[in-house]
Amino acid sequence: MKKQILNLIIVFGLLTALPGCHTYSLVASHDSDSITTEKATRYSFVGGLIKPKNINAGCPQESISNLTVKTNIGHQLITLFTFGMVVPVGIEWSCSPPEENVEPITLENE
Amino acid sequence: MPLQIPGLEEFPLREIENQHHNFNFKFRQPTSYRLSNPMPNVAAIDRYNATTKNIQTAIQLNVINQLRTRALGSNWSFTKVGYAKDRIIDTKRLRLKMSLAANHLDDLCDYTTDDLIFLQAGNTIMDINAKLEGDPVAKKSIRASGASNGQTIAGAMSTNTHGSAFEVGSVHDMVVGLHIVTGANSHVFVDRASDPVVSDAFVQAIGAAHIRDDETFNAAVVSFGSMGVIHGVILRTEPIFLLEKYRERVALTDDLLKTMDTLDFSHIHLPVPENSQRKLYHWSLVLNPYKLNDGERGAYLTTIYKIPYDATHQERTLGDRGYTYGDDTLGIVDRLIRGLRMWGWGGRFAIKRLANRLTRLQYPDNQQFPWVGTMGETFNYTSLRGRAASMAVGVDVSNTSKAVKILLDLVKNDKPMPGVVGIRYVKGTEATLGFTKFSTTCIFELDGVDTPLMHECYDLLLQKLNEQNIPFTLHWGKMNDYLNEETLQKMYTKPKINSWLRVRSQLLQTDEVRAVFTNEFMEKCGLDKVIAPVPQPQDPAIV
Repeated sequence: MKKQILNLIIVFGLLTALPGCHTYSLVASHDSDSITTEKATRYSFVGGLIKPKNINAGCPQESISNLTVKTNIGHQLITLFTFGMVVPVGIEWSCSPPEENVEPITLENE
Repeated sequence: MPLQIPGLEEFPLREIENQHHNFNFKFRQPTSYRLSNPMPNVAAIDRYNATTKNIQTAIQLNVINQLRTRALGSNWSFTKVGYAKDRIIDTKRLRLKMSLAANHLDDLCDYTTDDLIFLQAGNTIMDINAKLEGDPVAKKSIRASGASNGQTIAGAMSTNTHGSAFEVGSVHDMVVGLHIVTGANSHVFVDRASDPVVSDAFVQAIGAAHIRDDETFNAAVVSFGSMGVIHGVILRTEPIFLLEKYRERVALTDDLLKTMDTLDFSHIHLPVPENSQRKLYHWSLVLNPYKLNDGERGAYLTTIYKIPYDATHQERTLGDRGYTYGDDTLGIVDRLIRGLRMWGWGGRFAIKRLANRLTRLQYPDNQQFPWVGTMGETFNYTSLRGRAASMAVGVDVSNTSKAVKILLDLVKNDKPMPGVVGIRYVKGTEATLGFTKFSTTCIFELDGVDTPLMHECYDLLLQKLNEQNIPFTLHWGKMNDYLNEETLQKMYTKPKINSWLRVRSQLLQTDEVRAVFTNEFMEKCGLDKVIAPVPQPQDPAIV
């Protein structure tokens, strides 16, 4: 019995670790202000009655350039086996770069 | 103790994946640096100069701690050429853009102030296109672009991003001046003696030492981050124009091969004739190696003309209806291919179907031509997702058909390549280690799934090119495991490599700062060596 439970845990872990993502992207711009993308995983509980607090995007320009929502097979299995009581989702986003217009080079003595 | 310097931030970064998802890189240090321009309410030049000081501080910290670092742009390369073992300096927030005044130009400068723009390193090609093409007073255009627009200008320039403007050149060939931060207490502005650009007033405005020398410029302009941190470039632009694109599916005939070897278009029918208002700008092909038997139309020919801008032109945007392949598709295909290889001809059959599918996805039959757009609209974002592989091989235009035959034989008789072949042409460059070194360079781009079979195809192709004595070069930013000290010398010759090394030794003046900007790729290629610079004349104004 213990061996069967262990096997189930290993299989579940492998399934969670396997790629096989469903992704949905919202794009205002493909440009971004960094080489890194921000990531977070959030859980919603009890059919959505308990939801996570808003994620602070942390963008210096207070503007997101693109956002991707991801679910993988592990997330889907969690949702399935909890009958929708626990629903995880992955979120990735990039911040908009600073908006800089063309300026003349001006020095004090020019 | 965290840094308390406005505009220089330390942020956690243990590991990073490149933009094309074909490798992860682990840093030895837990943090890297990120630059942004401080003092938001002051003049752009003052913010720029403050960032120069921050770059010097970042270099100093790495020298003191004996850490290797490199400036990184959009992380676009398929290889680790742009990485350093310890940390990187993220430049993507450096987006200042400045116009030059008449007194900033040398008396012998061939350009007007309207032709030039001074750009900070982190400006992406898409950002530059948006600003130039969207200018309400005088719309402008960059002169050449790669196929996509996500790279920063410093990154695109430094790795020889090229496009297919066969009479114009690569991205770096549009750059006419470079501002490089070379140490904790040194920074230089470099332009060519044969193409002088800036005056003393400009150099004083940025507080740099001035180097006016072709050898120095030609070495630094394609140096993949090895000569310090490129902080700014002066880019040559031109008044905005439109590109009129045609695409046809054709067979690989003898006439087409003759054209590919000469760029003499009298052998084929162009979609429309050239005239004073319509000039051929770009000519490229994509070959599906599995659909080129006797009369099969497996060659996709793209012909692009440069035409005058029309003020009524409506902005083109990417459509958002329909479907595309998922983020993990290429990874799954990689695993399938590894499994299918055990099936012999069955594997070849599946790979052939894959290549056919990839080509149809990229070039669906329902596209309408001519398609007209600006440079920015034509060469826009390529949304590569998943484990993609790409190698780009440069040969002289006259060797194009020989190289095509070698490749098609390889695919037919040796290994089924899980990908397609792009062929583009670019005007040759003066850059010392520019891979587009042939006077007209034909670039073979082998794009597909990042799987061991693809890499075996790459190795076999290069081996066969060597056997047939066809000289070639490799793109710095694409897959190039073949490169080492010996192969590099064969590609560029020892005098050219020594010239590059000499310039590097001159710009990075101490062993300590040279060590900071050395990475494993350079060591493998012998590009970390020091060669004593040639003594310079003692002119304090210009070195």
